[in-house]
Amino acid sequence: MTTVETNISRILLKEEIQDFLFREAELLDERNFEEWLDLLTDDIRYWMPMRRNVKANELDREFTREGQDINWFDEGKGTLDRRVRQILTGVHWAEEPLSRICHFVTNVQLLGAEPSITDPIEVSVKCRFLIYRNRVQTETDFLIGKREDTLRKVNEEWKISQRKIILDQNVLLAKNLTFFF
Amino acid sequence: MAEVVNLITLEVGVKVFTTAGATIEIIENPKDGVWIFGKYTINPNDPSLVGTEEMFFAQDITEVLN
Amino acid sequence: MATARKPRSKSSNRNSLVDLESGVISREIFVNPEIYAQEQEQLFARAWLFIGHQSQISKPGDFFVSSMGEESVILCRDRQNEIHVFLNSCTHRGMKVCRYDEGNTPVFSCPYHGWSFATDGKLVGVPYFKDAYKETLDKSKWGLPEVAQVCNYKGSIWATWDKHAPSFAEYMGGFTTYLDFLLDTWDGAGGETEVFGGIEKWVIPCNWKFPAENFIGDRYHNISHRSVDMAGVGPSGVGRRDTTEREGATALDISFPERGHGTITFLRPDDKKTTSYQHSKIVSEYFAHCESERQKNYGKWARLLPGPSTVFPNMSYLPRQPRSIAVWNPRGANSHEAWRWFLIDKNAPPEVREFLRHYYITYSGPSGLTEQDDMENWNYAHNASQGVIARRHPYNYQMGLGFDGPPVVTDGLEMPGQIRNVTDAFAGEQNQRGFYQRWSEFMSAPDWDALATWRNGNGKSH
Repeated sequence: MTTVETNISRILLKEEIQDFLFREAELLDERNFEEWLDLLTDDIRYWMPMRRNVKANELDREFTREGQDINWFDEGKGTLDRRVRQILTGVHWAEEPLSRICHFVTNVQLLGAEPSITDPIEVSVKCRFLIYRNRVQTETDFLIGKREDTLRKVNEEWKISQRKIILDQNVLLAKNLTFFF
Repeated sequence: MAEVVNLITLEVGVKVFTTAGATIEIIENPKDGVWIFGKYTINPNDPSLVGTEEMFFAQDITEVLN
Repeated sequence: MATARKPRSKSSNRNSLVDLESGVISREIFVNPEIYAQEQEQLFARAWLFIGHQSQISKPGDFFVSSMGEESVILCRDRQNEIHVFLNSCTHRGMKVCRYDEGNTPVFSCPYHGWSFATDGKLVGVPYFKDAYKETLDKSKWGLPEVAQVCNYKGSIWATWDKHAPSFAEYMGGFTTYLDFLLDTWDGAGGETEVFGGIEKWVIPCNWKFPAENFIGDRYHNISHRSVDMAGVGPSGVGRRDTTEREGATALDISFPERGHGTITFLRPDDKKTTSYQHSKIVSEYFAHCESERQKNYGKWARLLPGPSTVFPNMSYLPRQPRSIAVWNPRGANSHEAWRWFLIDKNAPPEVREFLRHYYITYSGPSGLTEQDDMENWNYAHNASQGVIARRHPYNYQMGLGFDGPPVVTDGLEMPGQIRNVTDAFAGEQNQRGFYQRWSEFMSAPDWDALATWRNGNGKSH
């Protein structure tokens, strides 16, 4: 394959993945939580570490560790499914009335594709997110950070198999995390 | 004028030169970039201090010798 | 502060603000900034406060930056292995000498002018000491301000700024009977407990007393958690939050009004076995083993299943599951910063560690299915209490007031505290009344001679 063809494949794949991420955000913002759950593989790892202030020479200790420490999130589909069930009860007071949420997904970077750009079954993609939450009357949160996702093709459809959420905060400035990143 | 020394980068055993004209060997580095623990190996102003340990302030360190 | 003892206005007259005979408490004590300012002086500068856990500072030079009231403090193990708690503020011009959350260091050096303090708090580095100060500065007088007393109680580190405060043991009184269940290992054998890496810190827009009084004994707020009981987050992985181990137990509210502490505790029949952990073979066998050891080690005391509790003023804990400590750090009348530590037996098998870690995260804190709803309620309870009209209407704390619960059959267990059987009543507010009785005393008492009421027979001694 020529370089041009490879580049075109890359651009098309990036466009495809970006569309997927935008569609995912749309589902969350439109509160189609059950459809959103369908975009996750059954073995998804959904991880959001906490972040410490550490010395420059100890940056390996900045993030709490997946699978070992307390994290803001460190869970699989079962727990994510329960979060959705809880919201749908209508008596989850922290989301009743429902918050108004907008996900902005930007700076999308395609980091890799396996086994190849032209015929990928797994891709890794990094982006920035800005989540705006407004609830009840004036309560407003802005949550900004980075996301590193692994997407896997299951029955010709992309699904999210890993999501690492890096929130750019130390003390969490939101009172709770009742929404999805 | 010599480059500003970044104390954080200095390992134990490294020798540095001070504004007072002494040479000190680093014995511990808190890696805060402000202070360094060292002992005098040469001190023309007061040779009796050679071998004694002290904290040295970043602005008193002028040069890395090795 | 003069106004703390001589109220200037009606709004700061605490005698009418906290009326425990009638069971009403003014909203002013939650929303009024003047009262909030007095709390910092009268309460947080005098009480024993929770700082951290010894497992966070296991080696010399280890430090953890904590908070006492509004102020940043450094919990540190010095090179002689002594534990210290210092104000995190340079004695020269006030800069925070440590802006890291935790780590290990031989010195805390101020990035402003360079003063440097050893792990025992002593001022050891002063730039241009010879040239600028002519060596006349008395370094021994300018170390980091240190708390007046520090106590390591079964691995939990506590401190007070008041040198006249009683010892931690006296401050706690018989309440340690209940606190021990949090700090001991699950089998009660006296092994080591440690803190999971990762301390949750988050902002809750309400006064710090909302969670403190919730944890001290609010059995009434179950409706808050209706959704999580439907979604299922029990320790067995599914089902309700409340564990089967409480079935058939007598529900007790235990208050120490002379000290301000309180706890929800269940007293189960002698022959009752716990059956809560069916997560996996390894996990259920571990807890079954711990439980039988617990019965041996605690004897008849193993019948106690302690629940949510608050150590006055702002440390709350859950001694069973999710086993954790929370501190409600005041940040102005209208906000506070919650910090939470999660505990685990040091020798727990990896499967148990993993099971509990996951359970803790999904239950507690901002991402916890249970606690999210608490924060919504505290937030908007506070929010709706700020107006001048709202402030004219006190909160109601009358539940169970004037009624005695049915007698408690303890079969020889001499349980300390003021015990109320709420098995049939479902809930009561004695513990909250005890908390605010103590709060009022702190807000008006001039010193610890007046606060140590148990010494002169005015309060119930334990």
